[in-house]
Amino acid sequence: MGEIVFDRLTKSFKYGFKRQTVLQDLTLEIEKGEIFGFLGPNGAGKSTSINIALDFIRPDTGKVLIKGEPTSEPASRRHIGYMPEQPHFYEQLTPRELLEFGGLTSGMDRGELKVQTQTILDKLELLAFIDRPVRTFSKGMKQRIALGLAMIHDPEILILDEPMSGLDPLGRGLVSRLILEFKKMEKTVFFSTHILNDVEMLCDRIGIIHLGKMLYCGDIMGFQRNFDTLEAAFVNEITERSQE
Amino acid sequence: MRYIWLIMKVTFKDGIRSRVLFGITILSVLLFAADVVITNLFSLDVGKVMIDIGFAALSLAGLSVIFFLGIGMLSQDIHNKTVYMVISRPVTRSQYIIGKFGGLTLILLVVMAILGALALVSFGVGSLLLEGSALPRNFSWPILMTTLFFHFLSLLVVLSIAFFFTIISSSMYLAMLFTFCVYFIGNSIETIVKVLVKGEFITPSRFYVILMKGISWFFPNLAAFDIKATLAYGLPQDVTYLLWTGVYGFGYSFILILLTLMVFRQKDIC
Amino acid sequence: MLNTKDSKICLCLLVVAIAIYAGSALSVQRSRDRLDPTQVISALQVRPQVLEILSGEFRSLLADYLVLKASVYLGGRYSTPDTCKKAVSILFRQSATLDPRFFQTCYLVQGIEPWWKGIWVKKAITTLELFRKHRDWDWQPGFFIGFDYFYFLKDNLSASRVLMQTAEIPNAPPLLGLLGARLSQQGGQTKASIAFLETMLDTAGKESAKTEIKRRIEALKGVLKLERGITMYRARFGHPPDSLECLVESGILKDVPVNPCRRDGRYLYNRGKVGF
Repeated sequence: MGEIVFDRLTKSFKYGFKRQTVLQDLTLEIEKGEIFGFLGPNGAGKSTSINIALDFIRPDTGKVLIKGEPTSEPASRRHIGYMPEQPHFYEQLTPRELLEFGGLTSGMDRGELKVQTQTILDKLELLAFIDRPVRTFSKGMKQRIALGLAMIHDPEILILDEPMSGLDPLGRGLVSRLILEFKKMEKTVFFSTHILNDVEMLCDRIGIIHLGKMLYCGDIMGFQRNFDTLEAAFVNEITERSQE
Repeated sequence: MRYIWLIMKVTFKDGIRSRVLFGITILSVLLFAADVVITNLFSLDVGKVMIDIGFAALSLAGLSVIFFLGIGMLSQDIHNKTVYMVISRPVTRSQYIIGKFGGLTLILLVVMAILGALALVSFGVGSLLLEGSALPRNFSWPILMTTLFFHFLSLLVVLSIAFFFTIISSSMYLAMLFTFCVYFIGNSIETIVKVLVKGEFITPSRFYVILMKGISWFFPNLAAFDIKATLAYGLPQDVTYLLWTGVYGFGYSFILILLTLMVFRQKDIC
Repeated sequence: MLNTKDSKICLCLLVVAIAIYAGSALSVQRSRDRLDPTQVISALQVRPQVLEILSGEFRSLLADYLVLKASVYLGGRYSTPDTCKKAVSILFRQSATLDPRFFQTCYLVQGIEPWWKGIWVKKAITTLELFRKHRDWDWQPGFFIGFDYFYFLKDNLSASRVLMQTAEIPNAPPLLGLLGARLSQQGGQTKASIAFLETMLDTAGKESAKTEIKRRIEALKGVLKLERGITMYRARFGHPPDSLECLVESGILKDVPVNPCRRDGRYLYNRGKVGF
């Protein structure tokens, strides 16, 4: 069984009197140790799928399993490090306090946490700001803090929602390096994005979702086929499906 | 318990460092300073006037903490998705709600304690400046502490109401409005029912009286926690009444937090 | 960087605006200081119960404010024009309803309202009754009411009733009971007065108070004996006696009792009414 299993997920939302289906029978399995890129245009259902995996929202039908445990069990989140698309924090807290909170709630002990906090912040190039309130941070710095929170407890699985969003090239480079480091440790990374350059560089496999349905799940070359670039293949696929 | 304590701790730290709280404290200090001046305008029952102003400042500060800090923080958590930071951990939603409520309660307690101490200082200064003693009749510290405690308890009930409305509504302003309405009704429902039952000015139908009595069960009777008169006039405090009122206050808050838990556990947060 | 010219213009405008504001504020203040008929004290003419509902937990503070508002227009430089009396009375009543224990209001009501005489006496008494009911440890509201009945309304019976009830409050001065009894006697309640004073005798602390009460009881017993004699005389002769000695002369009484409250030992008598 895969590290993350999406099993026939269906989800719809009510807008006034109308009901809109956001996910239709989504099935997907992420293997241990792979970097999986979850692609799709805006509104395709990427964030919804991730939110269901984190139990932020509940599916109408289907389930998600994390290392065999249903996501309805809080214990399943012990294995996960999550980074939201738009990270928000308790603004008066410092990176030290935030990471302390993240580590302790994930079961770390204080001694180990203290060392790990320094290490993570050093990697994220935020050590100089360790005791400064987060409300003074720029967007890019907050993004890095979010990544730090995801990594502090050394999880088996990283789930990142648009991790490169809002980062400058240096920041994106840093995140890419960290993701590759994660892979070297045989950990699983599942991230959503619509920046295809990053996908080409990092991912072992990709999944493409459009209008709530999985269009493709497999390796990049298999998808790219006759196209010169992944982007061209992606645009073509989406356009064809939209016309159907 | 450990997770609840951790959430309480971050909530407390986040709130206590807030500039909103700083502003509330400054305003309260000014009001206490004004207390000394205002009481000079009275010559009789001066102690009671000091108590009125002191407790008014505590009420305003407490309500400001609830409305601007409490509803603001919780609303931000839900609508800005700061809550993801917590519930993406192996923390249950119930633990989040309890921890969050605990943290806000702690903030309220600290604010009340600090402002209560300031009120006592202004009380002492006022007493010194006035020619005669300004202490209320039969003044005692246990009565003062009891009055402060029940004042805090009434604010706790309002906090639990604010909590409930913030979780169930889609807007911070709606939550503020509903909370204010319940606060207002809670303070006046007892008087309204008494006026109707007495029938001195109007003669309502029996159905209407029963309806109002029924509504009074639904809304919290905040007037029951107002025992300032016992402090201001040295009236005896009925221990049985106090015990039952304490149970009533904690019970009402508990029910609301439980309802909040039940709603939040089913809610889609996106 | 702000433009220097713009900054200077802003500064000039600010100075001019402050000057205009200061001038207008002074003028407004002077106008409001003059007691102009158009600027009389205004009182919100709502039922006090409505204020109670609206003020919520701040009702006690509102009571303080209302009495302050009323007292601004009383005494000192200002006398209370007729146009203000109704408003002041309303404010007192509202304050009393919101906090019926606040002695400042009670004291001001007694000090001001009944002295306007006429309809204001009854209004004052109605307001003071609120204080009497709620300040159950304090004899003063009852004393005020008793005084108002006696002095303004010449209603000795009501005065007596109130004073006697008030005298039962712990720490109430013994004078109240004595006063109430005296007034009661003048209203024809001699027996009740004796019974009340005998009760007071049991609870009186100091010896001096007990001696005084005993003297009053003895005097009242003398009055009771004389009143019975007068009733019998009236029944026999169809009119009250010309003097108390007539009761002895007619054989109704053996002798006229000695009044222990007067040096000459005599009772006061006028056309059928006996006093001590």
